[in-house]
Formats: sequence, structure tokens, C-alpha cells
Amino acid sequence: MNPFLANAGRSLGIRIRSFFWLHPEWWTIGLAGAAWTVMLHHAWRNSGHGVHHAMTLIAETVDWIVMVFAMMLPLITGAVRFTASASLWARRHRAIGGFLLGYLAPWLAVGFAAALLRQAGWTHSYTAPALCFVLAARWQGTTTYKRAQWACHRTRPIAPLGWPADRDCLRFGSLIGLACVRTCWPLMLACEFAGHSPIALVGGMVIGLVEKRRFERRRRPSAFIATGTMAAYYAVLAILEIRQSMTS
Amino acid sequence: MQSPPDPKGPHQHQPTAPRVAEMVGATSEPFYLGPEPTEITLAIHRPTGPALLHEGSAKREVYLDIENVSCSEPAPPFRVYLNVPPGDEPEDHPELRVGNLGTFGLLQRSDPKGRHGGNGMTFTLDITESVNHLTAMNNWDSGKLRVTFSPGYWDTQVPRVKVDRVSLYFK
Repeated sequence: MNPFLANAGRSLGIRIRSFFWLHPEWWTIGLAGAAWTVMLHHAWRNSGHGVHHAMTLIAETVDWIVMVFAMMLPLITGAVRFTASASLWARRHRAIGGFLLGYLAPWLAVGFAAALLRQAGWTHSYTAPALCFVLAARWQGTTTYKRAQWACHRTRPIAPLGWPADRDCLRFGSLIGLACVRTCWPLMLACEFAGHSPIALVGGMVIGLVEKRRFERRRRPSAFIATGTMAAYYAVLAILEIRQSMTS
Repeated sequence: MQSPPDPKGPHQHQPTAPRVAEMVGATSEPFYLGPEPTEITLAIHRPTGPALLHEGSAKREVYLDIENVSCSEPAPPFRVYLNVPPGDEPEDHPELRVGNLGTFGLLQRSDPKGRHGGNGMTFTLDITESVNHLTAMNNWDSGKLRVTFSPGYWDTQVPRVKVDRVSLYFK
């Protein structure tokens, strides 16, 4: 039933309570929103630097995690909701916390590697994100990508109580995290090498949402077009950058 | 027997919160089904969320989830029974049967390289009436539930079928 019709005639208190009952993942979306605020503020403060913005290894890793929060959490609400509904009522938010910790673990490992790469000079050019977007577009056509995408929708049993419940939430989160890493690593590297530019972040987010929608509706891919557009945009910037360096 | 009509009429009810399913019990580890009947027991916890609204009411809905059933070979369907008396054959108690797990498509859904990522099949059985019946027969324990799986007819060796979890939901 349409949620607006279903709520017709209900008091505000009941509506609010229903919302929190039906959407235990609300604070995950809140975290993503906060991460977007931090990312956009950071991008605005350093807008003059573009891809040349340099940070320490730790700062790059922290920024990577914030980017993962901003871009990936809205894409995994289904798994978060599953974790909550498969847990006892009293511990469903704890279960979500365990799931998120497990989910972030593989991303943290990739983020540290990306931050190490970012210490090299060649990643501070428009060529690096352009190549990563090309790689992401190519990656979307591979069987590994398809299988990883299917694995993103896997579920795992969660024990009801005690440390087995915490262990299962961590394990389920890391399983989904690994699948997401296998799916999105070139796209996230592209965003990282783009210096967390708002255009790359929003573009990456749109690609992720289009892919999610395509998977759920089983429609023809349009994420390829979006990724190709981002690749073309950064390729143009890379060409301009190379021409400028040749003339100066 | 038909219940007496509500004097307020069907449209006079105060709108209440929507029904939300609350998990109240589940198994902790995966287990296997085979050629012999398999019985598992799960502890039922007292609801602490939306299921409290309908606690003790005949309007409470009860669902049994059998999650991520998977197998690498063709497998027979399985019949599901609740609270079969110890030592009895489940087939001797058709009144305790709550459903059937059809295994058509099980192989495809169990393939880790397939479209379903090896998730297997998940079944949801509405056991509301059976639970009301068990309660009326004094065969319902609000602290634990015994579930028995019995294979249907199969002309070859019954393979081991993995079940990741059985869970109970009140709504």
C-alpha cells in the first residue's frame, strides 16, 4: 500500500513510531548525510587545489572512510534492514552497528592501499581519475563484476543472542563489504584520485544508484553511460592539463 | 461461528500503528536435513517491540521462516511439523503439519556462481492457525518450539540439505 495512504488518519506520534519501526536503518542514512556534509565542506575549502590536493597518509585514509560512508551506506540499506529484522528487537541497532563495522573492514584495507598510492605524484593528475573511470566502465562488463554484484545481495544467518550474534553480524557485514569492494573498487579509486571532487563524488553516487536500480528492476545498463560520461569529462581535463604543461 | 458485528462499523476504528513483524526466536547454527526426520528446537523470547501490541491476542500473526535452504544435488520436498510428541513419527500427526518446502529450483538458487549468489531458498510459513490450534490442545510452549522436517518420497538417495536458520516471527 502507498505509505501516504497507509498513514492517513494516524496521529503524528503513531506515524513517527511507525517510521522508526519500519526503518531501523534511519541512522545509517543519517551517517551518510553527515559524511556528505563533511565531504562537501572539505571539497569547498580545498576547491582551488583540485586533484593536486595533497594530504598525509592518515588524513587520506580518514577521508576515504568518510567517502565510503557517504557513497556506500545509501546503497546497502537493504542489507542493513535485513540485519535489523533478523535480530531480536532489543538488539537490532547493536546488530546494525556490528554489520557496519564488518562492512567497513574491507573498505579500510583498500582505503589504506589507495592512500599509499595517493602519496605518489602521478596520482595527482587528471589522467589518474580518467583512467580509473575508464577501468570502472570496462569492469562493469566483466563476469567477476556481475558475480560480485549478485554477492552484494546475499544474506547470512544471524544467531539470536550473545557473542555468536555479534560474530554473525560482523561476518555478514564483511561478506557484503567484500562483495561491494569487488564491485566498486575502480569507481571509488577514481573518486579518490579525483581529490574527492564533488563532481566525481556525485557522479560516482549516481552510477551506484543507477546500478542498484538496474539490478533490482533488471533493466538494461545505463550505469555504463554514466561512467563513460565521467571518464570523458576527466579525459578532457587530463588533455587540457597535458597541453598546459607542454606549453608552459 | 461468525463474530458479532462491530457496533462502531468497519470505518469507525481508531487508526493504529502498522503491523511490524518481530523476530522472537531463531536457531544459532546451520543444520542439515537428510533421509530421516530432523528435529530442531528454538528458544522463544518474550517480544519487546511491536509484537507486544498483540501479545495474548487471537489477532496475533505467527510466521515461521526457513532461511537459505541449499543443496548441491536435486532434493525431495520436506514436510514441516510443529511440536511432534517425542518418540512419535511425524507422519502419524497430520494435524501438526504446518507446510511443505518445495525444492523446485533449489539447485539453481544454491549455485554460488549463479544469479542468486548461492543464497538458496527461503520459505515463510504462516503458522497462525496452527499455533492457535496447538494452544487450544495444550501443546504450545511459549518458551520453546520444536520443528520437525520430514522428507517426502524420493526414489534415490536423499542428499544432505543445508538450512542456515529457522526463525519465528510474531506480527
